[in-house]
Amino acid sequence: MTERESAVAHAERSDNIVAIQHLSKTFRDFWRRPKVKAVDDLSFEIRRGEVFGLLGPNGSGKSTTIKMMLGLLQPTNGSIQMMGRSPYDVQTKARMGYLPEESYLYPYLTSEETLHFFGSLFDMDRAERERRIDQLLEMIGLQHTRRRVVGEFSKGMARRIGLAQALINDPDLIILDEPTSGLDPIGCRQVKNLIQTLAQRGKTVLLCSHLLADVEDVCDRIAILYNGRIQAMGSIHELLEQRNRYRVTLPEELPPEQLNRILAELRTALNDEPDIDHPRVDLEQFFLQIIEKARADVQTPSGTTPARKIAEYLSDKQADAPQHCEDESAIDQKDQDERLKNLTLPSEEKN
Amino acid sequence: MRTILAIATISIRNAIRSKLVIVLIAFLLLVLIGLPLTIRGDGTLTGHVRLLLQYTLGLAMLILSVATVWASCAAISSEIRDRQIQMVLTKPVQAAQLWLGKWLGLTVLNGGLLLICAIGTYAALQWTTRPSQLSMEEQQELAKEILIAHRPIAADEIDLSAEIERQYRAARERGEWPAEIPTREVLPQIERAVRAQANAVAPGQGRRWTFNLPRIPPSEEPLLLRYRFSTSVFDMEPIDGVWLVGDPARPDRERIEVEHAQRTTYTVPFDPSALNANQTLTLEFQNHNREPVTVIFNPAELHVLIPQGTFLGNYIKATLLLMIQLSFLAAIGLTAGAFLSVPVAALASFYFLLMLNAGRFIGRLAAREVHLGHHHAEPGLISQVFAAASQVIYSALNLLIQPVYAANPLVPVAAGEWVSAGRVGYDLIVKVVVYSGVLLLLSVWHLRRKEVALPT
Repeated sequence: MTERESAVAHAERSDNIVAIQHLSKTFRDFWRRPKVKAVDDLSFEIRRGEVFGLLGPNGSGKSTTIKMMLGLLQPTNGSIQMMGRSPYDVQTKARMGYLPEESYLYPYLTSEETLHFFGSLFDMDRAERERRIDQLLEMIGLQHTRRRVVGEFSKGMARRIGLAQALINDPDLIILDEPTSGLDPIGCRQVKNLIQTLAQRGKTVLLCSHLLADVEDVCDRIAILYNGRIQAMGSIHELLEQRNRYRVTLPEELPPEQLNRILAELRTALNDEPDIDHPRVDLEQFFLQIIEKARADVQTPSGTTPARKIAEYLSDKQADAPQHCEDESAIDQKDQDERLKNLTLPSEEKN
Repeated sequence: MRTILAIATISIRNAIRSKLVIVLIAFLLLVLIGLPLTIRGDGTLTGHVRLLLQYTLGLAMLILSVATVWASCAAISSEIRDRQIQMVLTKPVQAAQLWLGKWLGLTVLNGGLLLICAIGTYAALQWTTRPSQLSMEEQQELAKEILIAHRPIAADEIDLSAEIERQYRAARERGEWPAEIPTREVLPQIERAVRAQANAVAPGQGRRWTFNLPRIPPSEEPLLLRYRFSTSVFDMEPIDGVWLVGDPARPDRERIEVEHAQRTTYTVPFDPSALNANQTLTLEFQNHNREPVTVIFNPAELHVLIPQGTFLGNYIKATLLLMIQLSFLAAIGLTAGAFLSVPVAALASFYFLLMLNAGRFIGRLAAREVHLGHHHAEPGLISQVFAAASQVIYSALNLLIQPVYAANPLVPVAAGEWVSAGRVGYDLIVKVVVYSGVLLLLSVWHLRRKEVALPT
């Protein structure tokens, strides 16, 4: 076994699927003079099976980092190991899926032809491509537009095709650059569900976004970039937990007299008035609820159709026992069931 | 291979749906239908048929060449600009597969269109020369002159080196050339003069040429002598002369009296029995013109034509040569497009195309047969440096272009001259395998280093 092969074998066994060391990228002008330092001494790892979020405002270096990981840009300094190999290695690329920040599709191809094309690039035979395309088109809700050229698509529809092409090879590492950009709330929720499903299957997902809610919903760990440098990195739990504040959740069906008694005891113990409010459904959940009701009355929508089912080959379930993704109403129901009354306590009263 | 085919298919689909092919087909139809209806030759049937063959397919080839260069320049360059290449290169696709897929798509598309044009031109030819429209004489003339594949055999070359050397020394001794003019400039001019003298026929004199012909199957059909000459007097009327065909020792050799104008190509039939057992033929021209004028033959335009296959076979080989040329142009455009933006790549490719077509002229520049600029009696240092640098550039260009320079194959086809399978094989190897292979390696080298996702 050569040194390189043993390095690859070691990386295959190791927990880190991506290892970035001291990565820098300086863009230069025509005369090779430094113009912008987009990434500055970046080091981080992505572990096998985790959903890793790369956050940052526009121009913070997220996309540049991703493009170096994909071999589309060359680092000025530092090293990148993707599954133990160079980002330029075709064997690495065969196990990756990439959704760029814009879906750069061939405008004259239909959605079906687009997916056939990208499937062919993975050397998939026709039967396998057709099987996966059927499932993917159903998953993204575009099965009725399979013969329409993507140049006629709205941004959201093109985004869905972009997502489908990123998943056609059932990749081990999925890199999603602003995956919910241009999608309606239903699409956003579906993408988030998809990411969670993929993570459950042991896939590694790198999510690059500046939509904090998306990242918070699905990521295990995040790195926050600003000015090309990592400003903070860790698990969502570690980073967001406020260790000096507590929230007490009371059962929903609490009789009023019992609630009043508890509150009175709290006031006595705190010698202060605790913050009390009623929980709210967030706007995303409310929107999904409304759309679900409206959808029941419309038979043939002009845009995307309800997308309920994760592609079988992605959910790893047999055809006879299809895995249904939690649709919006199911999520709402679950949320309703778990609706709680929240009380936020001042930190000094934690004892 | 699946990857290459997928990229090729997508390239063809994109070309068809972007209406490029529709516009191209419209132009080609205009040429295929319009030109045969409108072209008028020199008034003769053979002239008309020659023009039909040469111009119809020639113009279609010109349109396809321009389209191929433009489309190939855009194939990679526009994908970099529109960023679709980011979607492709993040898949397990090698830069070589991308290049080969694009090249294959362009070759199949343009080769297919050329094939349609070739079939259309052949159909137009068949329609124009249908027997019901022609007299027996015209049919025979066409069959003899154009609708056949004749292999031209040049006369044996005479060793003139001793004579050239002798005349050079004599000229130097006489002081005809100033001493400061170097030998390399004098010698080619003396060589040209000696060769002209060797192929000139003075008034009342004769001149013999010997031809070594390959073995040909015995036939009653006459062999052909094709020639073109000039005279020492520019506006001389038709020249009277006699061709004597066969062994000079034979008193009964065939005698063909001619009265032909200068700078015009003539084809004269003669009896194949004139060949001796060694397949050697001797031809003698006697200048019988009443006015004293020297007739000068050019060995490059004096041939014995022997039958070598059919017109259709010849036509197919010429079409294959054109297809090879289109695929070579696609390779040039793709490589230029990998390095440069679409308009710049197209400009560079067209410039290269222009140089390819000027291959003969560049060859003459490199061989110092032609000089550009003014001659100074005493050139300064800058002029000498400039001349030396120019010579290096011409020689390098010549080295680059000569292997791929080839005259338009439709010209010999329209003249009923044989296009050899060897030429098709040579073009295939040199243009497609060697030159396109080098262009592929160059593109791969660049694409592997190119940052395709730079911010714009």
